[in-house]
Amino acid sequence: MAKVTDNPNSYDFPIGKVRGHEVQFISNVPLEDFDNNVYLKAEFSSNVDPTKVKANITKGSNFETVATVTLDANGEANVTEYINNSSITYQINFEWGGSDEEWQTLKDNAITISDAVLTLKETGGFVHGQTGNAYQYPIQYIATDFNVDSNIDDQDSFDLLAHVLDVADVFVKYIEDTFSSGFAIVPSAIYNAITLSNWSDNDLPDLGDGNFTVDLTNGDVILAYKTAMWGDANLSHGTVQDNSSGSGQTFSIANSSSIQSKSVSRYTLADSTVDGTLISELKDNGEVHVEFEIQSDDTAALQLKVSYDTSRLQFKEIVFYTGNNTTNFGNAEYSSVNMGSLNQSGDALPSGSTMKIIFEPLETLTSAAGLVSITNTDAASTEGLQQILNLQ
Amino acid sequence: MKNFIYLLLTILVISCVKDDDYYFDQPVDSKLEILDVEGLKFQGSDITDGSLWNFKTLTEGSYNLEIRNHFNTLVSKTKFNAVIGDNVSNFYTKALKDGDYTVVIINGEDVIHEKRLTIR
Repeated sequence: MAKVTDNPNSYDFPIGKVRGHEVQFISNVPLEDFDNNVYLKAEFSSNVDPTKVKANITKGSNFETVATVTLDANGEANVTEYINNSSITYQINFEWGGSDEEWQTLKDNAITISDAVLTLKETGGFVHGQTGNAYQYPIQYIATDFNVDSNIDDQDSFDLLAHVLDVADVFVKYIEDTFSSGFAIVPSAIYNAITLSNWSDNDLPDLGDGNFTVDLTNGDVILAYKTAMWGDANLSHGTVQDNSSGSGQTFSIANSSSIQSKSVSRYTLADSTVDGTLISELKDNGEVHVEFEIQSDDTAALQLKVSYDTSRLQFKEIVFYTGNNTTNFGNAEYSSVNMGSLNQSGDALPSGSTMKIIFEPLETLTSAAGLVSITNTDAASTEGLQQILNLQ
Repeated sequence: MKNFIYLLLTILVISCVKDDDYYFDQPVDSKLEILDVEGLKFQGSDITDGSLWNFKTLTEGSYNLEIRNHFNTLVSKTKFNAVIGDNVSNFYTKALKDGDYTVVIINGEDVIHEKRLTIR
């Protein structure tokens, strides 16, 4: 491929001979004669926006900058223009192209109460006496082995629970709170080669130094990547391994029916819904109350994130009526309230349980319309499986 | 003097009588004016932060206002009390992402009004 430019117009010749007039100049000329393209294809969960991710392409031993490419909505980019020589090495480093707030939102959405319940279940901390059989893929162990001791134990599950409860951030505690540190974009071949045994034996596939070369003489080149996120136990924001069954380990599946409902690119354990209501109201004293009520009786944990207008409301408190054996949590940070309940014994939260957020007004309000909105919800059943919260 | 006392007593009696409930028609912004006896109206097709909306009803009572996104997922629900006639109040948008929404007014289980709007 080459590009012929006649200021201000240009034309890409994808294949074949490249011709131009004397007044035109030819750019992007490959050093080799090839008719193939090079594509970058990173597989993301549908819950992650790939357009927020940039790929920095460098080359050579000096990591000379070649280009920075923004991925499209499918996580793809045509990089033929930049990777066009099979005799030199390239490197690709991914970085976050969104704002800090968007990165925080991604983390908040990815690591939620059902992740904590799943890890507690794996380690026996949810419904005591039942250990293991909760994870399906080796990548889940890596994502939640916070202290990197090749073992998932109580400490890991409590770390994840503490993260969800906003007690201690697993990104801050164990790694760096950055996209490049907490979001793995790994060549698919390596990602798929990870097995339970090579994780537990501390013998993971070598990522190498990131250098790669391309063979431009044998058809299009696909640079394939898969993704996972630190702490994302249920892979709600990651991708499954293609050949986990080839791990050499026998995996017991928590719920055999989930195998059939599993999507190709996403690990899905949500097998039921939980009903609830959430309603806000401007009270006579000027306060705005937002009350959630659960209307199902097979939910052991749930979490809600409610965004609010910080220019008009000030968070005051959360009042829980969720029974005696429930751990409740809640706080307000930035412009949202994170709250939830967890019954670690695996018993159901009583139907009719409520959580009420109370806001004080910062100005005289005439209605509560639009002052709050639900930004994220998550729930886990008494079996430890993710549930979809159906708000009415 | 006697007339003066009668006058005072009359004033006293009148002042102690329970007021009747009178509903005065408040002047409503022409953009929010609803000619029908009932209706729902916003200042424009787009809702901006703090803009006004009017819910006109013949039935006093409690209503719910739902805001649903383009996937018809509930993102906000507000309970409010309405009096007979016009009920004008502010609509706030800072807690909502920009986009197309459906605003639904519900009385009990019944959908009274439904409008598609863009929130900015």
